[in-house]
Amino acid sequence: MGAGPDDRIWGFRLCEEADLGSGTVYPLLERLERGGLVRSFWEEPAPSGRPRRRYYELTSTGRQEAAAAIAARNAARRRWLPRTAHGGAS
Amino acid sequence: MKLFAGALEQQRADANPAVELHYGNAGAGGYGLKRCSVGASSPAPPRVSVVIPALNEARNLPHVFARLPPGLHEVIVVDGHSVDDTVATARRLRPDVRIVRQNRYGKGNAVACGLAAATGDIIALVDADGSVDPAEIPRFVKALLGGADFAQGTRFADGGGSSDVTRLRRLGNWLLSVLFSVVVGSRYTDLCYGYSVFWRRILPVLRLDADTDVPVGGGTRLWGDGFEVDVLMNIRAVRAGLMVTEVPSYEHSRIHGVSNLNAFSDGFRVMRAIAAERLYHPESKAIAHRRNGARRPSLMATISERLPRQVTGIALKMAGRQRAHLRDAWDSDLLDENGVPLSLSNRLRHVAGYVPAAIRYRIDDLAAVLGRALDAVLISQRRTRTIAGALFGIPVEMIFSREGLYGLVTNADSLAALFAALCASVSWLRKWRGVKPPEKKKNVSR
Repeated sequence: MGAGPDDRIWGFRLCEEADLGSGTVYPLLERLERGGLVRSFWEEPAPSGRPRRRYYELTSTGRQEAAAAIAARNAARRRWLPRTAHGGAS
Repeated sequence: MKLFAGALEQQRADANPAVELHYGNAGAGGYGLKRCSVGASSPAPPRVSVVIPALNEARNLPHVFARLPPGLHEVIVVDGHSVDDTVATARRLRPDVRIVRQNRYGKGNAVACGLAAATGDIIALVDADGSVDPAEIPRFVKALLGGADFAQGTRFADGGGSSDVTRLRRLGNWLLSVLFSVVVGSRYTDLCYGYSVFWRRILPVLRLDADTDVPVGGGTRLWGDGFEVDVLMNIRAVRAGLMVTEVPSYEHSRIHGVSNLNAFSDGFRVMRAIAAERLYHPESKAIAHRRNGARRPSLMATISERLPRQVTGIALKMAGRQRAHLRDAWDSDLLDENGVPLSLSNRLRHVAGYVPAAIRYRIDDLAAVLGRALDAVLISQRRTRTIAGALFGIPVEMIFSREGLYGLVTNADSLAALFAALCASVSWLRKWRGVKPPEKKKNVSR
């Protein structure tokens, strides 16, 4: 989800990369969107051979929250795995 | 679909029963259903035969006959061995009526005999119980003139409706429609509605047997003699690659008597009809595909091709109208950049998640509603007190009524604990929901 604006994320791709089922990803996306952390928009211009994709991206608040969450997770990991070099930055 | 616009003139010239079928449509996998409201007019109006299968419907016939549109070629009443004066009533109402006796039993056989006797260009099948309105026939004819081969009435499209259908029947109808679209490949909104109008030249495609005699009293019915005839005709028309269109229609309550239809047993008959047509009579489909130079796909292949589409549709329905826009997103998830479908296993795996996703959406919606209700209580000091007071008051009252004041004193510690728990949970809920009652002035303001 932390992807830049040039490479777009849509439902199926997110499922693949996060290794989660669509049944988990889509409701989460909607919840995040409602919370203002994620923004979604249609593919522009509409492609010819298939229906439009729905792209998702983090909003600026979302990006901050994500960074904070990752930092918190890494901190927690470091506490439990004290001697590894870098935690598990992703 | 364009093919059929040009077939209009051909249909006009086509008075003889020799079949000239249009198989072009079947190549699209049979997705030939289209709601058609084309208002094409033609110089010489086609002759319309109305076929009315009737079994002991003497009391309903006057209503049906009164609604018949003018200018009909003929009216045929098929008498299903009625024991009331159905035949006499029909003759009295309309001296030019043609009476046909069916040779076996059941609605399907009545339909078959009536169709075999009809001589018009267009045949309209009308139930005799007054539930379908013959005055709608011109609408169907218009659809046929607009290029359709077969017009099927639907109660569940815009402009249609019913005052007679129960929830159970609506649900059953929907399930059967889904089954039908998975197995046969065409989308119907209403499968089990006995109002169809079609060109007589397609009769051979329907393969209804009006000739085989069964000894009377034997009680034997042939396949297609029962209520399944409506769905059989639709299946055979669709699978022969005919252009089938749905026409909105309004179903009235039947006027006299009770329906001869049973939701469960006839539902199963229809289901059986769908399965049987697919498994045991594949030839029509085979012909249609051979005409297109393609091999007939196996049952497994057709189902697995259609399944993702069906599941997506069901999930979208479950997810509610406010998420209908997801259809594009979900459909495009199954395709790569160039519109080529992903591998079947990928698709099925992904599509399988749409249903739980829809359920979770609904749970979220419900939680949002409950959350709003909870907020509405928490934000007002008075409402909170009322509810918390009730939660506290009920045990107090119970103890008091059972053991009197003494009981309250002995249970004071648990009551105090309950009170504390209530206070704590209110403040915890307020913190969790981020709701604060307005300071100072307790209520009034909302």
